[in-house]
Amino acid sequence: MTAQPRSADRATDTPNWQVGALWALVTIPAAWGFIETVWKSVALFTG
Amino acid sequence: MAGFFDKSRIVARPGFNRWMVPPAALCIHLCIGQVYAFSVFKIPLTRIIGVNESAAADWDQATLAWIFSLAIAALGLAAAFGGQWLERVGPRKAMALAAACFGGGFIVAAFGVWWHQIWLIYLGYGVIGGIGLGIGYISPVSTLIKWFPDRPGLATGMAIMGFGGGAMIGSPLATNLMAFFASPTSAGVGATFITMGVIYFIFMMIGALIVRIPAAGWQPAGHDPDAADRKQNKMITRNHVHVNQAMKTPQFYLIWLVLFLNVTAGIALLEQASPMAQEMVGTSAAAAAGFVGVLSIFNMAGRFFWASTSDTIGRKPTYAVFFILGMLLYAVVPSVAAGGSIVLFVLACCVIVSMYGGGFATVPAYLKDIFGTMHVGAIHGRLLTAWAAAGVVGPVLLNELREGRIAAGVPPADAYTTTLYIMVALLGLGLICNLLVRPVADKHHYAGEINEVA
Repeated sequence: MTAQPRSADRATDTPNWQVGALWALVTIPAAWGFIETVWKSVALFTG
Repeated sequence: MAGFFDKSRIVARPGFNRWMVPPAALCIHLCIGQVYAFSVFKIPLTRIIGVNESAAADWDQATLAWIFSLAIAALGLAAAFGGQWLERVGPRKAMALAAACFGGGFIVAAFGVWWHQIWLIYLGYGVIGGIGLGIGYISPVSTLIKWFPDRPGLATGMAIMGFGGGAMIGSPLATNLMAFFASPTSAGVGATFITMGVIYFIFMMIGALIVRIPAAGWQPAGHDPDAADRKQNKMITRNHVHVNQAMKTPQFYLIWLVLFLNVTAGIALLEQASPMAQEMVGTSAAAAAGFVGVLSIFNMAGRFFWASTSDTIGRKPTYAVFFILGMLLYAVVPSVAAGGSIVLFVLACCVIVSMYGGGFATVPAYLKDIFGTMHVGAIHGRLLTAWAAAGVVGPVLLNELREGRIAAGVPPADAYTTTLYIMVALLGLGLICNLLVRPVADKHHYAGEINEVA
């Protein structure tokens, strides 16, 4: 599903860097865990 | 004067970007999802005294199994009974309590490891940590729904996906920390518990500090709750139902059964995924372990995919898809396995598990549609008892049925077939319950001032 920016999300004055930094804070550890899991699972599954 | 954690201190100023709220929720859910990775401590906890191998005085697996069970029981109770308090005090105080309990639970458990007192681990990780799990799980839900009335499924799906993803972080984090702290005289579990407790407390507190609630009457620009198409959709209420009143409606129990049956079917598969793969399609034990990992990815991804999809197709049709597609897939798994097609077997199981995760992630938005936003967090908390019940019934049902079939002389590989067909029947029952969900009668709608209690 494509998330298009809506008017609700454009009419804000929160600096973009704050939003970006916060998303990075949660995305980086999640991505690390995801890659670890995919790597190990695929390695095990494919032998 | 309002305290720092009070609800009145976190009302967003005009211009606040609502996309700050999902990561705040993820700060909580990515941490508490660690509970699903608790199994990484199972072996090290059996070697606290012996270090390299279990000593006679070390704890056995049966003793340790109670830690996870207590945590899940405390989760269910805290979610059921803490929801109304959460609605009253707001998400910041609830998230801070969750952080203190979950992080503090690890620290109490660390002392249990160092002093070799199992009751301290039960109390710490099980009871105190479990309360943090329950409060943390429900704390961002109603806030997200209020910020995203136009896309509640997407918003809650993101947070609840984080709960699924928490195990993916918790597992390698714990493994790496134990390797770092291990020494010839220690397995490193106590120091790992302390470190994880501190990390999780800080991460969850960041979420508590960032979270905001929208001002009374706030609506996203361009979103009209009274738009004609929304008025025509009877399955999305514009009224509100008090949590205690919701418990008197048939809709609450029907949705409880919908969640219970969907989770029972999914959990039964997850619980037996590894032996099923080995016995039904003949994979190796290592490949089966990889298969379980692949399922966990689909469990997580399904939470986001299905909850987001429900914003477009509606909650009731989404659950109808879960039940109908689930019935078809459970019905074909035995034939696919008998045909020896590993790829089709894995694909079918992955889709089933994605719908298990999707069921968790879509239900807050379903509750919002049926009962309104006023007490959706508290109602969600009480509905989570269905999860706890399914956690007991699902695995027991599968194990008992399978053992009964094997005792009757059926080969192990074929013993799953009956169980899978029973899952088809359970999903059929879920489909009926879902079809019976109708809008709440007017007499149940809350007639008071919403802003005073919301």
